[in-house]
Amino acid sequence: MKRNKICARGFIGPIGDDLPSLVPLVFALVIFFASFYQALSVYNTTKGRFGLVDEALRISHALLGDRQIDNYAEFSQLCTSVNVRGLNFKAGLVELSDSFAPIDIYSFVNENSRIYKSGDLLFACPQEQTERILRDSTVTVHMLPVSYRDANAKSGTVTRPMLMVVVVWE
Amino acid sequence: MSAQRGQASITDAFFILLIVSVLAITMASVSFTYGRDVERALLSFYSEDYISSTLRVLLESSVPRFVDENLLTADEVDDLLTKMKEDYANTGTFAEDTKILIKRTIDTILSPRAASYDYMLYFWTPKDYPPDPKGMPHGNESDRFIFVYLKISDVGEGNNVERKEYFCEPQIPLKEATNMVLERAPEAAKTRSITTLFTRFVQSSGEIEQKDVVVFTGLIIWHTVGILPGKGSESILTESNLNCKLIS
Repeated sequence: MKRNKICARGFIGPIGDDLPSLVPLVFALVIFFASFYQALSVYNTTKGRFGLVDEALRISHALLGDRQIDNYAEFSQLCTSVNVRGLNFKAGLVELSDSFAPIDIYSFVNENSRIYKSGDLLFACPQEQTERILRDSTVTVHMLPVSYRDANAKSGTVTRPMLMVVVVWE
Repeated sequence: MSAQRGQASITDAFFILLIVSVLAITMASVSFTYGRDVERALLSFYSEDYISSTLRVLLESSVPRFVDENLLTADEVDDLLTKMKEDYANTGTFAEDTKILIKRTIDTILSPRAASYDYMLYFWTPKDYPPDPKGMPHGNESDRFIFVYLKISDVGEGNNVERKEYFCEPQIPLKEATNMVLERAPEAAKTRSITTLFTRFVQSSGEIEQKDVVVFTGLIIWHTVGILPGKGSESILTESNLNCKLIS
């Protein structure tokens, strides 16, 4: 009886007896799940970003072809060969000059700003833009120089450098 | 006895906390660096892609016949490559007008990156005609730079950046000249050179002979850091390095 009393002194149940040790255990679980959640979100963000970069590379290579665009018909044909699922994109030819100003991607996509126009022909892909880019969209921009055979020069057809700009966003 | 059991239990819990903390730190550090190598590889691939496109576009571009004219309004235009070949065939070098047209075209193509990048464009042949009778300083009888254009930023006092343009005539081998830039410039990107075939008219025993000359066109671009150091304590621009002259 006396022995039982000694054993029962301070005993507050099977869990209560280990209550102090539960504190570091719970703390450990919180640390583990917090870092796991953080790692998972970094992984998902990075994967999403690489997906955009990969898509931008794929689109620009599809549009560039042999890095020379002869006319609007060729550009249009290359544009129809681009097939993108689940993401939005806009590509266009931009004129190059010595005093080249940075391109505002939002007005480039939403208002066709800076996209080269030859007569009524706008060198944009796709022609009909339904999706708009927002300030909080995740965006990747890919730019590559390309030769364009311009038939509107005084001397006839000349080959001049242009910039192919591809914007991919989600 | 029960008190001892409690101590063992809390010690175990602290061990678990320690192990979990180490795991959490490892996981966090791995996640912070995740994809960094892939990102660096993608950036490098993009830079190389940009450079190779630039070179191709440069060599396909048209230029006005006369340097002070505009391409779209000029009465006569030439292909830049044709103009270079025409100059080289007769003199073994490019005329001043052609040099200016090359400079202007490459500056236009690289204008989207001009704000933060410097670059070097070069035309080099492993075997020129006629071979230099004295031999080149590095022992190879006939390899030489035909033309080098260097656009580099000079960072002055108060971090004022001034873009300077040079035509250079390096008297050093290709590898030494390119390594000089690649080793000293941060994140310098270089792509495989484009090979073109030029023709050279050489006078040989009273007759004019036509010789084919292989010419490599290369481009290196790097983040602006100012004038790069060359051999010894000199800058890259000096006679024993790239031997550059400021374009007036």
